[in-house]
Amino acid sequence: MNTLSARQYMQYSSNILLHDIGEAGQLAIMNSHVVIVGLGGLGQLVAQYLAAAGVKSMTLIDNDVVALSNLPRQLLYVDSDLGELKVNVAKRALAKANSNIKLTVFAHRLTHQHLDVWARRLMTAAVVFDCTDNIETRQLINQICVAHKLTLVSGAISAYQGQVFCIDFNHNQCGCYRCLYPADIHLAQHCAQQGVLGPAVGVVASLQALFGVQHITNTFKAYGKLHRFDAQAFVWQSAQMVRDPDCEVCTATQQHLARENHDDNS
Amino acid sequence: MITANTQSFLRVEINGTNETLPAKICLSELLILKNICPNSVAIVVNDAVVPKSRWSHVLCQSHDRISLFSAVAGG
Repeated sequence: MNTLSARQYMQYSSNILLHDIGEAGQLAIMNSHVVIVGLGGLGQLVAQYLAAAGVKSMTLIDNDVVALSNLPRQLLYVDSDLGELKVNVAKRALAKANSNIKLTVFAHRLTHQHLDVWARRLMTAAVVFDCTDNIETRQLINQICVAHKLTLVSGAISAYQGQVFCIDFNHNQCGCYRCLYPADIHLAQHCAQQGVLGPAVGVVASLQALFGVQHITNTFKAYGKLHRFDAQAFVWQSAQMVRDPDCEVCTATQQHLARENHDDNS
Repeated sequence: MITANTQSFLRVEINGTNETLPAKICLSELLILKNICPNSVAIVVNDAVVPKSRWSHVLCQSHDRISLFSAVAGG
């Protein structure tokens, strides 16, 4: 797509009116593909914002079904969806919000098994949104994004503590998720054990969607900044992420790239 | 952050609270002092994350602003 119709100008006028986005930015959104891993509290809202913003295509990955305890914070789902796969419900609902969107869904958990297949599913994404609820999948998503130089927008929240960051691994000097939290990290909090308020999840998810849209429109300026939100004290903190020289993920990727360069030059 | 420190004590801010620490204490020792599991947090000093492999090399300095970010993974 390289021009907007009159209807699209009207529909996306609030985006287009922003001087740094304009028509070119909206076209960038409408030509983009995004991947959302996890369709819980974070992912369901990120998906709605990105679909409404007009993305061309979206891949949704989640193996869960809609549960009663999801409904207070996962507003994409309603009572009649209980027991149905979240990806199927989301596909149906998002198609209503944006009839032009191409939706691909995988009702599987992203695991070590067939990691190369998962990597291929993520590789064409302008942005990969990590909206999962466990550290193992977060580490795998990070590994794929680092290896294939993708852009990762990671969000997490448990109880009153939220964290979010965006890294473009194509131009990365600031480490990765593994540099921040090693593989053996102990979780202090877990949604299922600690609880969480729906609007607090929405704050983190909204920021993820905002980061993603800004990356796609080339207006994002805070790559590699870790933001922490205290939803009880209403305090935001941010910190510059830094590469750990001992990080296995970054090191493996650098060695791989060095081998490729060597092969190209020989 | 890594300079000679001749004072016996130093004043720092930890998670927004003023605290006094013994001089020449590194970040790894700080976690032991505070009884915090090293595998549960990221450490931020003066608005930058300090990688875990550096914790035993980085000495706390007077007026450092130190934050301990607990890992969260919920979604």
